[in-house]
Amino acid sequence: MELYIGGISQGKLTYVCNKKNISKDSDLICDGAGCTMEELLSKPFVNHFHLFIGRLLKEGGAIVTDGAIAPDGPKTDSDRHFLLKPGHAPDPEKIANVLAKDLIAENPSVVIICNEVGCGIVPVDRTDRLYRETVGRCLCRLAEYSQVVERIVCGLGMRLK
Amino acid sequence: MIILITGGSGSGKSEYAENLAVKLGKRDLLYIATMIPRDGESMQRVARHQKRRKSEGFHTLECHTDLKRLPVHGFPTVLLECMSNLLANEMFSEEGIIKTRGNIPVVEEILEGIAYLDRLCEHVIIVSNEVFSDNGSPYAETAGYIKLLGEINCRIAGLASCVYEVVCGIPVCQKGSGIL
Repeated sequence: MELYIGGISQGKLTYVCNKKNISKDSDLICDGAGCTMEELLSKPFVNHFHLFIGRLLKEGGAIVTDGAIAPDGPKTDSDRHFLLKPGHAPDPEKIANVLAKDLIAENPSVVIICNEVGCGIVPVDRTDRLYRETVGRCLCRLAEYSQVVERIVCGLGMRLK
Repeated sequence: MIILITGGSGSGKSEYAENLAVKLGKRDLLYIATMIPRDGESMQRVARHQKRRKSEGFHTLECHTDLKRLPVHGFPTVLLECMSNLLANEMFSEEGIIKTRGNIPVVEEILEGIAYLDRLCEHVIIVSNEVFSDNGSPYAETAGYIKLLGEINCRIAGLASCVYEVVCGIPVCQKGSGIL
């Protein structure tokens, strides 16, 4: 597994494509903005991984009450509301652990590109906080497993691992 | 010796700082907890941190404001978590400097607290937060907070022997040559 992180518009995708000698529109890449869980767990490259997590949380989708991820999304309405129902505090660490575990098991050599989203002021909105925390925790787990972690600034990679 | 650990939300900075304290201190570790738990989410965070620390043998002291009055005698290694909460408490809470004592400069007050810890303890590990890389804030209070936290981080980094930014759980050394 390889992890490429950085701020918005830092040239992460270009950097990875040049390094791996693939084109930006290659079929090998899936985009977190719209891909399915199945694609995430099978494609060799994932771009915009943070957007996938955002969708996961917003659509309430893919996480069911027993902690396992359901590829087809929520089975029932109560699953859909599980994450953000009133009075229930969803645990970003648990969600991140489940997602990271599945990725490591199903797609261990994937190359992941992800924005860093945790370096601003903590947002007032609870969903936004959950999103940032979940992305952060998930990246910690994936970085632990990855052979390569690079941070891209101004299109340049800095090797962290 | 001061060691500053920063990082964004969910970066793994707390876990890294705790492990560092355990390696440096071995015994009589003091954890200075600054968060005022107000809701389920912060309780959950506190519970997660407490669970992790329990097995590592930390003593815990709550310190929401006024760091320089904290009884830290007899603890060679202290971990302050975190500067971003301490500053928010001093600026915005009922017991904070601004509401209780008016025009005292917050940054100086906090740095005096740090200097006090540094006088009494062998290792002072301070966790702070990277809140500087989005669009700032349109609210004057929050914008002021960001500015002061930035200033505090810079001043502490100036005093510190080592500064790390933790990224995805990986420590990136910004100052010093690594202490372990």
